Amino acid sequence: MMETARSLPSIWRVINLWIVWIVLIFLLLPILIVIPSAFNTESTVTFPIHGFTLKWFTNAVSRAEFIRSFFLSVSVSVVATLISLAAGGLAAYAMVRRSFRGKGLLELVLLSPLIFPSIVLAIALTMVLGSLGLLRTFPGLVVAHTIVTLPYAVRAMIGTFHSIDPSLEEAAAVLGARRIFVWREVLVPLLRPGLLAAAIFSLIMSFDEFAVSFFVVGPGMTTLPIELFNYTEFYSDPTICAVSTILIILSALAVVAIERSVGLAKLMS
Amino acid sequence: MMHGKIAIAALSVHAVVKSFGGARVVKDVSLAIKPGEFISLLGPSGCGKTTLLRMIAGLELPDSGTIALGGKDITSVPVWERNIGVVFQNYALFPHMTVAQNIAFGLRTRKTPKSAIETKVRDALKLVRLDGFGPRSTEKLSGGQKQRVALARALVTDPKLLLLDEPLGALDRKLREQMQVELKMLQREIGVTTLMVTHDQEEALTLSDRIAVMSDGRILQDDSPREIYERPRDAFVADFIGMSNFMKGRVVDLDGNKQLAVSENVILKLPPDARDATEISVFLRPEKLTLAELPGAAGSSLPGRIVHVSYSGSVTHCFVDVGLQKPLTVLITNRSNYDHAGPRIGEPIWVHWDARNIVML
Repeated sequence: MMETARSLPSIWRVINLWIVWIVLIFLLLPILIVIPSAFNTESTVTFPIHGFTLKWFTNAVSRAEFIRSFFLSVSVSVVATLISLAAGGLAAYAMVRRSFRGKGLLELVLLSPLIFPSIVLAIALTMVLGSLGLLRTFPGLVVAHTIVTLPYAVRAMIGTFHSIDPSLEEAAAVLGARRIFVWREVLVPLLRPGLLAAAIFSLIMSFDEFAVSFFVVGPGMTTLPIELFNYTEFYSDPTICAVSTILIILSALAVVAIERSVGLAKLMS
Repeated sequence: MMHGKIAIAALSVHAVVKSFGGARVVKDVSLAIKPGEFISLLGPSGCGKTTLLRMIAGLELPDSGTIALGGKDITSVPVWERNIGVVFQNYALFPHMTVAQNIAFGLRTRKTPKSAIETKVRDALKLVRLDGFGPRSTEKLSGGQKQRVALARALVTDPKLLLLDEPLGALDRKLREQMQVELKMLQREIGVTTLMVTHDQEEALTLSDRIAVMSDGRILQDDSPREIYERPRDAFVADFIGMSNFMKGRVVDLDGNKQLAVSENVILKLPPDARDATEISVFLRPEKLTLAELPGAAGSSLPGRIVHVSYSGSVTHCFVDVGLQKPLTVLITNRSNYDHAGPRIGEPIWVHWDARNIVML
């Protein structure tokens, strides 16, 4: 019994391992091609590469529109993240601790940007922001990005709130703590893993955002992904590979930070 | 708090009612606790005892009725302004704080100066015999130690009232018995008015000055532990606390003495103060019964056969079928360790008792 139980699945285990590798390669191959291409001496994106150079990196960081759009992307993602953390934290608290009429509906609405095709969201936002006169403005961009990042923030924090024992809040209240003191001294410290995960997710999602931004940005108010797209309309050199490489490194650092602090597995559950 | 300067207060609960979603959980409960008294709310789970405790703590608002502490109506005073110490069932220690930070929490909310906090925390740790545990993480403490930290945290603010929600429920038996003694000594030393919620009758009997037995949202009996055990007012109280032998019958007058006709040919003596009634239930505690080989006084003994023997170390419970609906439970003390000829299943035997020990319900 034990014999067959061990020997039979061992074949499957080998097959399994191969499938995992194939999937991994499939997922990583485009990225693995982008990185060497950034150092290619050829002035078109080709693979394999013909020589080593850093000129595309130099070109990337010397172009004013990349620098400007990089800082715009950073500002938008930071502001959208801060709003998502504050609003999402309170929303997650209500979802976990309170029962109220329409809770299910609110949850659906809050998480809907996750399921909606982003093009639908983009068109809807263009119409709304347009009529409010917020199209091609910083606040408009922040609103659009917050809608994208909020569901991630809410999800990450709902999970953490579930793991916080409700009697801790009661114990704090009994010991003389008002609501604000309970939040500051008990809830926020215990929510830290959730806040961190929400922040990292939200920053990446916003920084990376393309479809919605595409409809909302305008001259002088363009985020980095859109600027990269625009660049490819006129040039086909590996500069975009250089920028992509920088972004890949930044994202990888963020993933490592999540893994170190909370653990990816816990975050995804 | 360590020097008997505590402001002990009386608690008075008057006509309190509470419903959750249409279900009445607490139905018109009134309760008075004298300053310094230790009272237990004893009842099965779902009897409303925890809801009552939560209303006193300020964690729930009663639908109607009033709660007064030290003569002041606190019914609608917010929880953070009440200064009532609570030890939660799962202790509810803050996992992100050290033992000392946990104890200091209630002092910080009251903006106590730093130097005073330090002294008070140290004194509180000493009081619960956890000197030097201040810098430790609460995660690594044993159940008994967590319990003591929770107690120290609840007492350090000199509360007017101490509420204990199943405080020893999570501990194993040996530790629980030890903590019972410690808790009682501590309470007596500090003198704080205490209300404990428990479903453990033994805990209630050992710790309390008074026990209020609750069932289905009402207090059935509010008496000293001795009265509750020996003179329960109704069958629920009698049955919930300790073991009981119930007998039902008709009261008949025989030569001017009241007797209980349990069946056609079983007529039992009743205590001299027996009241007039037709159908009544009476009960006898198992330790008030004895086993004998010979018949005893008429009306205070019955012949039977042992149907089950349950040995538990210091005592043995014998179940004797005497022809009533249920066998009688007889508790015998295992007095000798050399005489192994104890009661045996199937053995014919007589059950004796003193009619004065019969309690009428």
